[in-house]
Amino acid sequence: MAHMTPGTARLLQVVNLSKRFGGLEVLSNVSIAVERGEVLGIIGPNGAGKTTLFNCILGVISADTGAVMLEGKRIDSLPVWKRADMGMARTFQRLELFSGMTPREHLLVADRVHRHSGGILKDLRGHGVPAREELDRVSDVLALFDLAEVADTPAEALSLGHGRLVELARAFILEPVLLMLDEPSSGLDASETELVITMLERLQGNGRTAAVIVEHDLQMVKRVASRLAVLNSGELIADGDVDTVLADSQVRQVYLGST
Amino acid sequence: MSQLVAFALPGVPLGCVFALMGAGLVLTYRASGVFNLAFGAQAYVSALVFYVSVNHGWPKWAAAILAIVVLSPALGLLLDRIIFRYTRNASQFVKLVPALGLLIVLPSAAQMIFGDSTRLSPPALLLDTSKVYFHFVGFAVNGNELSTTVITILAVAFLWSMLKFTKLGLEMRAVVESPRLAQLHGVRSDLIGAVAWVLSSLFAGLAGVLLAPLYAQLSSLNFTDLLVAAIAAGAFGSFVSLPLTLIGGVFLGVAQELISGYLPTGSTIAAGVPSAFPFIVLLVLLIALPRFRVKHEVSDPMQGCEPPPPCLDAPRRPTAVFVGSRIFAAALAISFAVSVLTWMPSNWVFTLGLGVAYSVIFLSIVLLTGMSGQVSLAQATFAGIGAFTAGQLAIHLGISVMAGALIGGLIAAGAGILLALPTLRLGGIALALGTLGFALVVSDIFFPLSWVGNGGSGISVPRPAIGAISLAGNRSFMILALIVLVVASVAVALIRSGTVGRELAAVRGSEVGAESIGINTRRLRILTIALAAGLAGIGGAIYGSLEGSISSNDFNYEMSLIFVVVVATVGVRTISGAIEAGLAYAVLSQLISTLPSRYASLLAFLFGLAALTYVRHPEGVVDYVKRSILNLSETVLTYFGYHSIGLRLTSGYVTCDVGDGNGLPDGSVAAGGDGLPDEDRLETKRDVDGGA
Ligand SMILES: Nc1ncnc2c1ncn2[C@@H]1O[C@H](COP(=O)(O)OP(=O)(O)OP(=O)(O)O)[C@@H](O)[C@H]1O
Ligand SMILES: [Mg+2]
Repeated sequence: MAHMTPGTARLLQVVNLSKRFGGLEVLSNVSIAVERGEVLGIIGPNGAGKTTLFNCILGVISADTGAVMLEGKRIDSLPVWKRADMGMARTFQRLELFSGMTPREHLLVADRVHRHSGGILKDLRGHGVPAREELDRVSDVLALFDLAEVADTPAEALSLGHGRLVELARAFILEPVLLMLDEPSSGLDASETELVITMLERLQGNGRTAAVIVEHDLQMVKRVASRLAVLNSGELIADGDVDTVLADSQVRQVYLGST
Repeated sequence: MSQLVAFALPGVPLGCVFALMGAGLVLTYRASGVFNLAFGAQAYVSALVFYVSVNHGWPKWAAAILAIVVLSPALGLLLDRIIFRYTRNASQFVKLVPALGLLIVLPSAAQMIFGDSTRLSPPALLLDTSKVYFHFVGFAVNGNELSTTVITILAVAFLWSMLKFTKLGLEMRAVVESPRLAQLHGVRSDLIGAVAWVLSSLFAGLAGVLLAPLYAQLSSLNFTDLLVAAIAAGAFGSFVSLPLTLIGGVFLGVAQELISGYLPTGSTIAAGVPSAFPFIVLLVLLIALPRFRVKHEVSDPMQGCEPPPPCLDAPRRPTAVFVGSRIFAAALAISFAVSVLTWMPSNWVFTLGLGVAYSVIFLSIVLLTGMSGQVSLAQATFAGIGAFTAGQLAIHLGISVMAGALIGGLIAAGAGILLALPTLRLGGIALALGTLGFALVVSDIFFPLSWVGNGGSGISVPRPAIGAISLAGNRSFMILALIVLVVASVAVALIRSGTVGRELAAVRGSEVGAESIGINTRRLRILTIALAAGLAGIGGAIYGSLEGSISSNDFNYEMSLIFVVVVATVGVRTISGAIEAGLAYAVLSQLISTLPSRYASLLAFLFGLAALTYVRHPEGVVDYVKRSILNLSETVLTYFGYHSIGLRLTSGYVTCDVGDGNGLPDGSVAAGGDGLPDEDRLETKRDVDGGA
């Protein structure tokens, strides 16, 4: 691994990840890889460990064993913020909006963190207020996600759908190399789901950004994912081409059989 | 060997009392999530009632029943019913403020009711203090030591078996893990909370009466000083295990007595180290405790089911009113400055100058607590560091107090960082506990050192001079103080509207969310602690220079508690809140100092009382009253046929999408209902009920 140059290494590589919560084995020996520019869908029944896998990859919780590599570099001991700084952005299944802040403020703070363009000394010199270009950039992203109307409504007054879009926009403005979406379409109406799909296609268009998307809506997964992995009781039971995986008998049994 | 036993033995009953208090803390912490810092104060009240009734000729058993079995649990029940049942799902700060208020209210109320006379040799509960009952390895064990030890072990064993073996105990443990889930299983979490408070208060009463005879004099200070030891005892059991709390308490008591036994007597160090010992143990434990470090790992699975917090009241005031109030504020500020500099009597200028110094210190609380959501219980200590630094530098090196204030601020900031590094990784209550311990140790040990505060008798801090212009007069010094306040306010305002302020708001809104966009929350927190400590240090130096002389008493840990309570009452979210709080505190202190001595703590009492309302009025009860007055005046105006001029701030707030809000039958845990969900918010929908 170590001799590999970042250019040739896979974007994300997860090797033999395991995680227990007390007596409950939530992830067992999960290995998964993501290439640049692809969209990997992850499906699995409730409680399969999908969110836990996300949290381990992103550092919110630390795995018991296993390795996580981004562009060939081990990142499993890095804190969450540092992984974010390396280009991993995410949304949450259970919204993690900044309560009390408006969508516009969400994007302003994310944009500035991403660009490292702020700091206490700048604040004290009076350069802390948003500049014209920052406001413009933020307005553009708000418009892209159809959030202009609610741009100045506090987060706790937003509908679930708008909340999801704000999280997406917040991840989008970070210009990530790896975007991780945890059930982005739940709570969205058809047109909002369409927005999410458009955005994913846009990101894919630049050929640089990859996405991992956990989703229960198979129609949506089929439209956006180039590859599909299935998690069941913490084990990866299938990983490959979307149609092949969906045709797999074991997958049909544990996942589709019940729907 | 025999000397060892002689030193260690008196530590056992002392340690038992630590354990008893620790067990009480653990109980309410486990059952209601409240870190009851007022536990020692509750203990004191019982001890006092016991003392007074015995002195009135009551038989001891009757006095004990009154103090321990009746009054103390009744107080606990009352507290749960009127305050703490509403805080179950609230943030640590919301839980902490009423506890701090209580810690201040109880002793001051007792002082006002029973007078402030000195009460010597408190009576023992059961056995005769002076009588020696038996000899242990050749050493006399007196009645008080014997009864304290036996009662403690019995009480802790009772509590432990109750939690372990009864249905009630099981339910109590369930409620702590997840109030929601427990409710869904039919546990009446409300009842459980009440029972826990009653039991814990019973323990407080018992601890108070048992502890009193170990000291020569009954004083509330002895009880609150025990707080850190009690917390450390609880920390031994990770605030979960009662047997470990008992062992930890006894260990602390014995170790403390051993240390004071073997240290050379007479020096300041010897007097200080034993009381510093529990703090050091606490700090070590906080760092080492696995329970605290894995706080993110296993979480309440029902957390996501809480209804969203109430919406902010959008400040949609008409522009005219907004501009009008700004102009009014500016006019007020200018006329204040002009009055102070021209016609006002010099003693009033002095008082207001103190208010300005307090305002600077209070701004640090707005920065740290209001903006960053962290609680420090050592802001007065940081102020003291600034003041002593400025004073010593001026005395010994002839450095101007203005430069000394800056250096003092830097040193305070450094101390803040050193304190933050170990405690921050623990999150939640740890910083508050760590700073409280720090405040105790620094004000008890460090400030009295001869090279700092001259052994408690204090040092003088000169007034500075700028070139040939002396600022020795109150009026000229006031100019300097006002400039410092304006600079500090502008700095805080710039931080709030800048990158750091927005990042802090994000972290307050969602810590996980903030980390996920790349905010280094730890660095951000350390930065705010350093800034706040530095600001408090500068404010302290101004205070010292205005006072002319300072002693360790000016900056004791109680001041820190009062500061937090005052700012929380007046408004912890706004810069104007800090300034109003500072001026009001100084002026009211001045007024109250003219009252008879038993009312000396009236002001603390009033602010403490106001803090008890914090749960309902997190924007500051004073702000709430202000708003109510505006609403009322609007109602009156409309009544007399005037058109609405938009005074009523409740007009047009955002409606939210919260469904029925509670979802569960028992409203007591509803975050959107009575318990405040989250940090202190400025204007919540619920709070502007005046005109709705
Ligand atoms: N912090 C935690 N502590 C204890 N158990 C947990 C924790 N987080 C998750 N679990 C458990 O781990 C298992 C996997 O949870 P996870 O949230 O990863 O599932 P998921 O696949 O995302 O499910 P869903 O489709 O419902 O979102 C579940 O049984 C859950 O109860
Ligand atoms: Mg999930």
